[in-house]
Amino acid sequence: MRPPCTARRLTALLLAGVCTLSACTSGSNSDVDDLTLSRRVELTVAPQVDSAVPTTAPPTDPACTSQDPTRSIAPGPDDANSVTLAKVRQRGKLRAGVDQDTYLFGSRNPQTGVIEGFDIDMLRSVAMAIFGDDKHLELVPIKYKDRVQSVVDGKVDIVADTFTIKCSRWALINFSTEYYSASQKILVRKDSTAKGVADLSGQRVCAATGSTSVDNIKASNPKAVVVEVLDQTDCLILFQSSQVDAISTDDTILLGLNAQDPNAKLLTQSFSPEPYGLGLPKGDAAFTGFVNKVLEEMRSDGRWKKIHHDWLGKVFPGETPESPRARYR
Amino acid sequence: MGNGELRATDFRVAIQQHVNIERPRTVCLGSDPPGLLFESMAHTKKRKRIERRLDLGNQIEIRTLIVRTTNRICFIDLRHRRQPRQATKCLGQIGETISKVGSHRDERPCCRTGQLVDVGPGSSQPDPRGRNIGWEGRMKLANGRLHGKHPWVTTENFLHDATGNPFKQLVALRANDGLDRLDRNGVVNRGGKRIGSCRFGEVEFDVEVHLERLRPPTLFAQDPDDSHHAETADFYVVSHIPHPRARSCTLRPMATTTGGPVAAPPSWANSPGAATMAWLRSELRTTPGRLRLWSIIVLILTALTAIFGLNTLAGQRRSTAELRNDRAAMLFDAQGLHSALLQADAESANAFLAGGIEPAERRKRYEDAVAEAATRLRAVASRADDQETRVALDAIAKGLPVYAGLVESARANNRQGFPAGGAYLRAASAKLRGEIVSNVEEVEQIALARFRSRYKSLVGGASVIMLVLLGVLLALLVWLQVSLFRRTHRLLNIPLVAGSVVLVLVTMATIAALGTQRKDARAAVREGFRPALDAADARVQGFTAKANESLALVARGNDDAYRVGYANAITQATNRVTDLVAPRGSDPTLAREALAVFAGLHDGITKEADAGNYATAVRAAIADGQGTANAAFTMFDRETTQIVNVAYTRFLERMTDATGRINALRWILPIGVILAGALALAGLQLRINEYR
Repeated sequence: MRPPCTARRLTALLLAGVCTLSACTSGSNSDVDDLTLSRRVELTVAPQVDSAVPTTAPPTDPACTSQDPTRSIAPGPDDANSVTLAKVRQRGKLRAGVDQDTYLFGSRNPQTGVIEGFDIDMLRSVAMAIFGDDKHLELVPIKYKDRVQSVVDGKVDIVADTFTIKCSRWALINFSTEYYSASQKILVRKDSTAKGVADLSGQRVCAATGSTSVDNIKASNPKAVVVEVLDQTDCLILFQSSQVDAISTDDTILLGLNAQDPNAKLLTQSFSPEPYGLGLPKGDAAFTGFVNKVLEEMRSDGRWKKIHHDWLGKVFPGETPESPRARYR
Repeated sequence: MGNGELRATDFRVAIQQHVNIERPRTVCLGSDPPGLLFESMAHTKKRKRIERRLDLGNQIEIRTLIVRTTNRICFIDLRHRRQPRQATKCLGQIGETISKVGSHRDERPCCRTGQLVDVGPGSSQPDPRGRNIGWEGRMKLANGRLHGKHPWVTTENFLHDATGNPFKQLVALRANDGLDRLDRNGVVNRGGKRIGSCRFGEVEFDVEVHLERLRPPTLFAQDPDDSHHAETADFYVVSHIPHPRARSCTLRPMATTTGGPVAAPPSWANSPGAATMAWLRSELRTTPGRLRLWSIIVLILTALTAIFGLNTLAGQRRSTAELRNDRAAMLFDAQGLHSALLQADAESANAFLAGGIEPAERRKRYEDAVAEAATRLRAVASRADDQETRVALDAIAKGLPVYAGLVESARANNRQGFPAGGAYLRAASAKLRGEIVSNVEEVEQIALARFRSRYKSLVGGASVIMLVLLGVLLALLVWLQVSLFRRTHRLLNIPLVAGSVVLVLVTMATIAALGTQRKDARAAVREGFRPALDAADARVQGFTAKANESLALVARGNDDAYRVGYANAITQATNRVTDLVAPRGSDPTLAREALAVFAGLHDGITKEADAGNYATAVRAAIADGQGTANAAFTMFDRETTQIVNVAYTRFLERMTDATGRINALRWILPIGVILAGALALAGLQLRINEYR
């Protein structure tokens, strides 16, 4: 039967009302659909190996012998004419790659905000030799694993960052003569019974990614669990929160860590010798000679001894040792 | 034959059929009612009959017998009921011997079969349309066996049609159903009512015959208007064979039939579904029956609409309250927690940069930020009612003291001049970002998602279904009104009209209230929630940028990640404040300017640091006072906080309005619907009563 007019009109009105509301519904979903929260980027830093040093078949400097990689380029008569020196003079600043977390060698003094230490004083002497004062030294904190890379890239002119002289590195950069003789040692808890690396099987040993310490530990005791971190000082945090049982790196750094945490002790056993040198650009032999000349002067005029005493006198009580002997090719 | 006597046949067949008559046809009276019936059926379109009988001899239960034509009678063998076509046996012409059907191997009749018994003068009662049908009944015991399941009683009805011509009808009454519950001598009528008992060869019974049901359709289908009333009728046509071992039996009527129509369901329909269908069919046959059905539909629809409406409105109230009190608050508390954590991160890094003994004011700001974070964390936790959020909050609550411990370690080392302080600070920051802030972000995302889904359920879905139900109910009432008008020619059914009017009012009130509520909710999101979210997010991103700036300076030389983090955060913060549509009573201009100034000063600081003037850069980064980056950021912080507060208050106000609309409607809707339904039922009842 056909509904009369009023009924039809009523139905139409009702349908219209319902439709309007449905339309509102579909429209109002977009009220909230585009409400969003900003997303932050993930700040994860993946540990990387020393990218500048190829892992497979590393090229070596033919003049470098693994028996004695410390032989450097002798100071020559024309050392003042080096490209790097000219660039540095023109710029008015010596850019030096340093670490700001290695206590006693290169660390930022929280009180003054200034980076200071043994390495820094070595750089200061080089700057003095170039400019006559140390106000033209620019310290650029670099990542431990970027020490080689920043010299290769020319980001810095010189690196003083507990930098071990190695033939694999000679392939890419030059080194000055040895200015400090370190050796890799192990820092353990004060109550530890371990005598050497052989006693650390199954224990967690912390070392900085890209350093020689990692390889040395793995070679000496494959059963030790090596925990790699980005920075030496990060090892101390893991050590203090019992996340690692030992820290292995150069004794110089360990001395610094031990100074910050007296509840640890340094084991006497040492691995390989770690001769420290200043990292210098590969192509500029004259600059290497110039730096070696500066080091030679420091050894002879007692500045080296003073620096050693200033920074390491507390941790090496007694008479200041002799500086490492300069060896040339 | 042909003289009013039953044809002497040696088969017995029971037929009940629904005959659809396309149009009324001439009454053809004769002396052989079954024959007439079959003849009339020859013209019917559809013949169907439902019967059940047990052929013990052949173990065939015959349930359905289909009369296809007058002279073919078919059975369906139930053993093949799944393929009825194959199982149908057509038994040929009437008059053929069908000896197997209905023969019983071990029957023990107590009465002589085939005896005709007068059941007294038939009562003369009007049929539903007021015509008197005279009848007298003679009962014949077709099969007096009472110990089995299938006693049969037949009756011959001597009927007169409307024109006064007599005719005779043989009717078989089955009395089997319900017999199991009676004593073994019982005989029941079709409705299952016990009508008598047979003892020592005597049967006492009382037969109730529903005239309307016995009326041959062809006889009464004279009036075109009546055709639909007589479309279907039930028939029992039985001829019989006398049983050789039958004994004589005296049948004595117990009482004269005076009862009204037997409204009981047909005897063969003993499954519940079939019973309902049969009852429905019988109800649909009459106008009051149809009205009763419509009443039931109105009742169901009314109840459905009222319940659904009440439920929907309760859901809407819950949604509104939850949105207002919990979902939004949880999100903003989570964002406040986020900002406070990053502020703590930035302040601790700044204090570290300052070197030496940190300024007391800066230390206090750090402590305030941590306290604020703890407060917000508690606020979020009080509203966390899902597992995911609780897990995330658990991680935050566990991480926060660890973070604070690392910051204190950094501070202690710093005070001794150890570089481990810087490392501790980086570790603290990494902990904060890695575990704590990522979980806070998770909580924010969950809170926002839940806000979204709650909002959608508030403005959509259920309320539309409720309106559709209201519309259907209204349409039904209008249709009933119109169709009653057509049928009864009564202009107005006052209660029905009143019910419709009430329903129209309720529907309009509902549409109006829901519309306003929706408008309020949308305004709450547009004017309150969205700007609050934007401003809070800008704040979070601003603090992220600030913390990254300080940490980039702390981690000099190892600051790539922080620089990227800064750039990303400052871009997002700037976009947010730029896109921000400020709520009334607040001005985002200052926030925008402050952030721009801060970003500019930051670029200067970065440039200084890149140029090697680290000390200058640090001094600029930690300096307080007019024109410094810190001052600009403090202003940004203050302005965005202000906007968040204003917008959030606005959101709360508008949501309160929205709740008010629903509250008003909450009782109006169900009461109105029930009132309308009751009025409609009353209106229908008026019409039903007219048939009594």
